Amino acid sequence: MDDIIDILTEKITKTLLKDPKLKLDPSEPLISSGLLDSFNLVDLALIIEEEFGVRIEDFELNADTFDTLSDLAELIAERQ
Amino acid sequence: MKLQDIFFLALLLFSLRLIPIRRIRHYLVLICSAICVFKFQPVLPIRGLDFSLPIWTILLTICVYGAFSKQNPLKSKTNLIDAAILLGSILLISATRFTEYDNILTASRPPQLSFIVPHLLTGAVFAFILNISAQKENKWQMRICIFLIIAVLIILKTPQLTLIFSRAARSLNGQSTDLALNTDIRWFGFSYIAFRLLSILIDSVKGRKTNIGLGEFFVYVCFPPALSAGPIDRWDRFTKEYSSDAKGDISDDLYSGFGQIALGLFHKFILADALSKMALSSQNAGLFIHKGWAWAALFAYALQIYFDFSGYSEIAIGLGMLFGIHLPKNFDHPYLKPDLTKFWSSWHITLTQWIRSYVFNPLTRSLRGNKNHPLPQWLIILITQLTTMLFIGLWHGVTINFVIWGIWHGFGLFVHQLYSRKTGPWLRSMSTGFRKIYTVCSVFLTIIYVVLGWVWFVVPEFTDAFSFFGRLF
Repeated sequence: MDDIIDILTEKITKTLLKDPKLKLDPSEPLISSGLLDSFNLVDLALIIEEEFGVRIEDFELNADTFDTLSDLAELIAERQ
Repeated sequence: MKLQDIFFLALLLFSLRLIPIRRIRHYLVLICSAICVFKFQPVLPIRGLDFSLPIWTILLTICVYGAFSKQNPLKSKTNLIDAAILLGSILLISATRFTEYDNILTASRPPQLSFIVPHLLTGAVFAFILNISAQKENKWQMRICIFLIIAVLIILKTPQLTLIFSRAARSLNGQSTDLALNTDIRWFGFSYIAFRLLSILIDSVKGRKTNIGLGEFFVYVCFPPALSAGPIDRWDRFTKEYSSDAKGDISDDLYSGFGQIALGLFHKFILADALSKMALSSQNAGLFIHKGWAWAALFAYALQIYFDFSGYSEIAIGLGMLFGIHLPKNFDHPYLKPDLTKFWSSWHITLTQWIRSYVFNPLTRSLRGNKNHPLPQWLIILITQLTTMLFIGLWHGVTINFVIWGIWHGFGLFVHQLYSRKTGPWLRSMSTGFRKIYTVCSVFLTIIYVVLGWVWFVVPEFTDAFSFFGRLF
């Protein structure tokens, strides 16, 4: 699970937010806080599909499905 | 919904919740939902239409169920009973024609049986055709339904088209076509019903499993509290909660439900109605001389539309709670958000989420996923934001002012997203005090942009809207 969180953190900070210095806590809200916008979310879904082979459907890209890195890592681990 | 409808529904839904036997409760909810489809339909000047459209709401839901259902629905006893209850409800409602209370459940006196039977037969033929192949591997049935629903939605939202259909219906009925108006065809709740139907159809086409019964599907589509103005719940979430025996703590729901209803009534019937007296409207847009009053009227409209709509949603959520259904939140202090993206994540949330799920995300995914001909990021943001907001604009009506309103917001979102991408890391590196001041300024700018956008929404004529902008500055 920690490996997944590490990969996700790197992808979100470097690739999506272009802010490598940013520190992300696994329990920090990503969507409801507005840190990731709707466009970032689709990119994140594409990255997850490429990196982990897990598809997150279009209707699942919202804070109800996952909001934190921990939630997302759990979702990926479940579907792998 | 009128005030008396809200009180009646509150009593009815809470009484239904108290019924201990699940099957009986379900049958009664089905009957009540079917009755509400008729009860809430407003009177229409075209003879029989205010009875015909509710019938089609029920028949369309059955037909759509037949189209996406994987097994043959006729082989399931539960589905047959549910269908019989729905059709029986139509006949029961039409039978009120023969009593002295002949418009107690309907907008006007129900028509004769000879008017109703052709509707039922047409519906039965459609349902049969759509359910002709139990496997549905080629999914043509679902695609036909998607096409038909979108076509009806476009007709109802386009004033020129509704006028043509009104003339046609009047001439078929032997009524004067000279009196035809585009407001003659008002299908109660169809914008919301259509989106609920479309969501399950699109999900089925994409291969999602949709193992739900006809009855629970009908209650999802026509749940009385959410029939008039949403929220547009997700079918999987709603049906799961509806079918579950654990409906939460009854006293908590009663307390929160009545709290939500009281808040909604206050917002809708006191604040919004009071603000409407001074709010900008298509009639008074040309009357303002002073800038100050023009701004005051515009802000009054912004607050009126918010309290009116969020009030309705709170009432719906509260009514749902009384029955044990927890409908999703539709508004979350949208005017206090520091940017347009957050505004749209908190204004009519369930509609925005629907559009994101079925328009924005698939479109962005396909454009971003195209590695052979990659488009620049800014162009993808522009295309997707404009398409999404145009779609939301057109959902309110296929008229030029809603198109401009959609473009206004689409362009605003595009600019904000490019700006926030450039300034995000810089802003995060600033002190907390600076970020607080920055947020206050951002809230102010966002509210001004949104409020100015309402001019396009409320004033239908382009020249009138333009001249009102002249009065503001």
